[in-house]
Amino acid sequence: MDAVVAFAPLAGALIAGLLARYIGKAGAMAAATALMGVALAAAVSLFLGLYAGDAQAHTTIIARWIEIGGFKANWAIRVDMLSAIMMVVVTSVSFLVHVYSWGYMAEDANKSRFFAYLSFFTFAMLMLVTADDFLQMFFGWEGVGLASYLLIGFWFDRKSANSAAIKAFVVNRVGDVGFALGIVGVFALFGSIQFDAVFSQIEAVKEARLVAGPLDLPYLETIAVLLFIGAMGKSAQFFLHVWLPDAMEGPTPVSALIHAATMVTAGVFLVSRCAAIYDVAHGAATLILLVGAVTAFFAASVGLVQNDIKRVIAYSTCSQLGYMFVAAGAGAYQAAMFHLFTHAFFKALLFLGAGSVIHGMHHEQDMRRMGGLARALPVTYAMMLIGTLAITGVGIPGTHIGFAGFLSKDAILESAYARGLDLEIAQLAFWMGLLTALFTAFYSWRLIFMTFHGPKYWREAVAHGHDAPAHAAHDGAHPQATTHDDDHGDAHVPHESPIVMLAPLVLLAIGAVGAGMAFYEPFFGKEAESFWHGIFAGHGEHSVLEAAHHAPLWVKSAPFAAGVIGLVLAIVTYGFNPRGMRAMGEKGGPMQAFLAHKWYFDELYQAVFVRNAERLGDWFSKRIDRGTIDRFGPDGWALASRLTGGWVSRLQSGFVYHYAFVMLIGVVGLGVFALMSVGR
Amino acid sequence: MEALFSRFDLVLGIPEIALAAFAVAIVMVGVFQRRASFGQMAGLLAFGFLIAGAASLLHGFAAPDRWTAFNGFFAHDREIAIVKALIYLASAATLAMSMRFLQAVERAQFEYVALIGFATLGMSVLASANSLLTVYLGVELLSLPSYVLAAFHRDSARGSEAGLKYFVLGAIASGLLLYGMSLIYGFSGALGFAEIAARASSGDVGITFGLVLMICGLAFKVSAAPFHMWTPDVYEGAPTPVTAFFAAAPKFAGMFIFARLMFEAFPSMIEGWRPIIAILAIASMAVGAFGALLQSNVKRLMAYSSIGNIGYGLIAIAAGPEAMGALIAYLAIYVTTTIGIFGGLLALRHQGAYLERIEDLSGLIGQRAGMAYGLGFLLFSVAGIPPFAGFWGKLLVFQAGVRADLVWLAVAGILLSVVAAFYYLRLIKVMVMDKAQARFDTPLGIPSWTLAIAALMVSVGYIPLLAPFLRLVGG
Repeated sequence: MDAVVAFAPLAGALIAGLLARYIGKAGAMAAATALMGVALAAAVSLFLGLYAGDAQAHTTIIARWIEIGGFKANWAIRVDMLSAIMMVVVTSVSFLVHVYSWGYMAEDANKSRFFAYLSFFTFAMLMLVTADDFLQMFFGWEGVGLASYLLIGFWFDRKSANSAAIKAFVVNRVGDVGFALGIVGVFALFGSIQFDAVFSQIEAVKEARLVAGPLDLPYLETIAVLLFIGAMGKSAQFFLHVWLPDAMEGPTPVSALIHAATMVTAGVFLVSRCAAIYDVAHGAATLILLVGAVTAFFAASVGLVQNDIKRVIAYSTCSQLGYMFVAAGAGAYQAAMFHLFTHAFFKALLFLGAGSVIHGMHHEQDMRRMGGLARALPVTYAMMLIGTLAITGVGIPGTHIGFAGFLSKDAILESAYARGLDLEIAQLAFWMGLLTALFTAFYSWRLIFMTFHGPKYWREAVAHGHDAPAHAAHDGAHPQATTHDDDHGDAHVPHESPIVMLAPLVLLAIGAVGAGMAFYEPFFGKEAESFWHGIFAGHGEHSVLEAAHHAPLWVKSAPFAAGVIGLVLAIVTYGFNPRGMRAMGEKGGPMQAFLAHKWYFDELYQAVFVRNAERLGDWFSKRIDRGTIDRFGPDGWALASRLTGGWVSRLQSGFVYHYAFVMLIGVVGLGVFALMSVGR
Repeated sequence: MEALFSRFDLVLGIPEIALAAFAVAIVMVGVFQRRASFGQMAGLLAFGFLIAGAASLLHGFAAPDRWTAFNGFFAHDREIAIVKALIYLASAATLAMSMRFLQAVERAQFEYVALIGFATLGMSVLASANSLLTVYLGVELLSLPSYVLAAFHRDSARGSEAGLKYFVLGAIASGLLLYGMSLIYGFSGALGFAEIAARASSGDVGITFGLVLMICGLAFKVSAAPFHMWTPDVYEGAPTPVTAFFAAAPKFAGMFIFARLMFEAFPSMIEGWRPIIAILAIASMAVGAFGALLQSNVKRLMAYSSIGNIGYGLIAIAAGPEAMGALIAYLAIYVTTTIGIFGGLLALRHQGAYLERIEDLSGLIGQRAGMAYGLGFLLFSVAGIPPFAGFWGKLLVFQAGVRADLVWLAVAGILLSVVAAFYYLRLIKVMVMDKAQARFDTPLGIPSWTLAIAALMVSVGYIPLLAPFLRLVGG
């Protein structure tokens, strides 16, 4: 049962990737989807078993991996509440995305490859979450990174997709270096990388110092920060966030699965898994809190002015991940996991909804060319509305009734407030979180208004014909679509998506509505202690959780109020005066430019890192590699060998007396040599 | 009056006596029984090889130590028995491969079989030689039939040229060898290996010079640089099966007696001859590696390949007596691989014409996949790429060199084997990647799959067989 969860997707990936030629594309896709369904069933049964108390947390060792001296690593499936939740999230979203992709990728020539990648991603993600030691986690970590790279660059004939894929890969490497160093540190300090062995020794090494040359650092804090750097890369936190918006170059189902629901939450999972470390490493925990709050605020502010429908949601994801880190940094890992859980549903819903819009608009992503789509895409509109209600946190303050985001986001802000009672930075995080909630409401409703209400700008786009760059790029990838469009000018009229795409939306919408209410008590409420079963045991009686429950009513109502303010602002601006806002967006201003350029991060990195790295690489390539190594190495040797070969061959004149002469030279030379050595 | 030889001497000489008897019998039958076919003659000689091999192995494994006979001129022990058996096998294999070729060029004459028989007799005598006279006898007994074999295609100008060149240069080499022997006899007063070892010392100028001359003569026979110049021309001009024969058994016998002469007759002078052998080794490896780079004729290429491989074998000789096992293992692998490659060349034809140029092999994989794989494995093996047998052979030799503190020689060998790998890989590239220029004829006799399987056996199956040789090295 344990192994089925992880290895059914691997089987699906292998079948879809290697056997598509023999069983056909549809066969490959069906196999991958069916095996994904098997994995989902297995994951749900594991989760329910743990939830109902029928089964205990346990670890199944599959195989020994590495054993060198004291260093041991196993392939294992660790089943506890933390991994079970992740398994359910990963397999359920992945299954729905598989189904959805039948519709979304219907016209693509390489759809079986797409399914193979999706299944492989799921396998890697499951290896990550079921790891029993840091090394297997790192394996999964790199595996999802690879899958992400492949899927972002899935339409490899687009230059932008390739650059985005490379950007994601490279930025993630920065984080991975931190993670890898962290693992090295863990092994050096604890003598093991197995989770239980590490966590049980924490009290013993609390005071250890890391002395290296001039450095004298607290060991545990250093490890905690290094591991968090890994988490920052994968979860696109401030400074290492730049890859996530660009990753939207991948097909939309990928964005929903990898860049919203699962992979990007791996960092949150890592921090939660290492809760025992962060409970002790207060400095690192505070750093997490701060970075999370800044990320949440920054990404939300940038989201305010984006015009690409997927980018808005991408920044929203970034921002929500910041929330999760705020909770984790505050010590409320339960709240972080809760938000991770609910976020997976409503963010996947929003992405797949956006995908449905894009599909209906014939791969148009610019919201300025949309508008008034509510009538043409009624189901999509309803589902997107539910997703928006969920992310903006609509519910009844003071009770536990509301959309998923209402409960989980409020849990985070309450935790931040509670932590703020004895940590000032947490107060700052709380206020930034509130402001973020306002921004979130604004950009989410802005998206709804620009896309589904107001004037129908797509009519103008039809008149303009094929000049839309996004569309042109898309035509390159889909020749059939091009001919179709050329034959019928009115084919641009938006249309509702097929049932295979709408059904996953509906299922996710159910989660977005109900997941919060259904799971509030076990994740965060009164049942939490028995639910988590000691995974987050660090805090004891003065638990943040407990304090959060006793937060004053104004704290509990503030996020909702912020959401309402955001909604009102959105109605006033984009709802009532869309054309005015449009003009404003075009005219701009310093603030608008600052936000539209994402705080100038890309420009800064371009100038500081990319240019210099390019210059350095250029120098190494031209001077060191080609100029020195190749010239005196392979090329030089090859040339010398050729010349020597020619010379040896020319000696072979064919005349007997030449040959005899060479022999005699040999005899004389060797004789003289030998006699000289005798004389000595 | 003391008898010239005892009954024991005759028993120990059974392999050579049998070979001589069969070779003479073949000449007789050939002359008086015109109807006997080439195949029957070859079968007769093969039978002779069988008897000789069985007798040799029996003697070798019956004896606890070394047996000597004919007043100490003739020796026999396990090592020698193994080498002799391998020599007979190699001769038999090359003889079997020649039949189709000789029939195709209408040269299937009984003299060929007789000459192979006599040459093999010479090698057998060489392997057992225990005195300078026996060495010389064996060398000449091997060389004279070889000159004739090189020119066996007597209507071909190239063949005659090859035979003549070989003969003239071989005569010079024999002269050098004999002059060296006479010097050594003159200064030490002994002919037997053991007696020379007892009397020779490194300070003696006469003996040193004699030793150098003998080394030069033997270096010619095994085609070590700078005494290699005849090799490419003779290999190219001689009929292909004769080339295969030259590249196989005589190398084995020559290198073996080279090593025994150094190890048994001049053990105390090792510091004197080691640098000379090392120079020969490095020169041979270099010539073998660089000389073949620009060749377009397969047989010439194989000539340089054999020069290079002799260089690697010389590393083992330079390493000293402990490396005898490594030398035997290396030569066994090299000789077997070479026979396999020539077997491939002799099984492929374009409209009745045998392959000569490298381009003739192009596109082989498309038409004769099994043959292409077989040749490919063998070429990988001879290039020294693991896990093929050739790699292990080279490894043994290099290890022996390193143990004898000849690290620089081993390093040079490794670097030069990288250069040499180029032309082996080029052959594979031509077979696999280049477009076919002509159709290959349908297989004659041996199907190409047989060769492929044989190649696998030869290449990979050798690895476990190395263990006894290693034990032999360890003593």
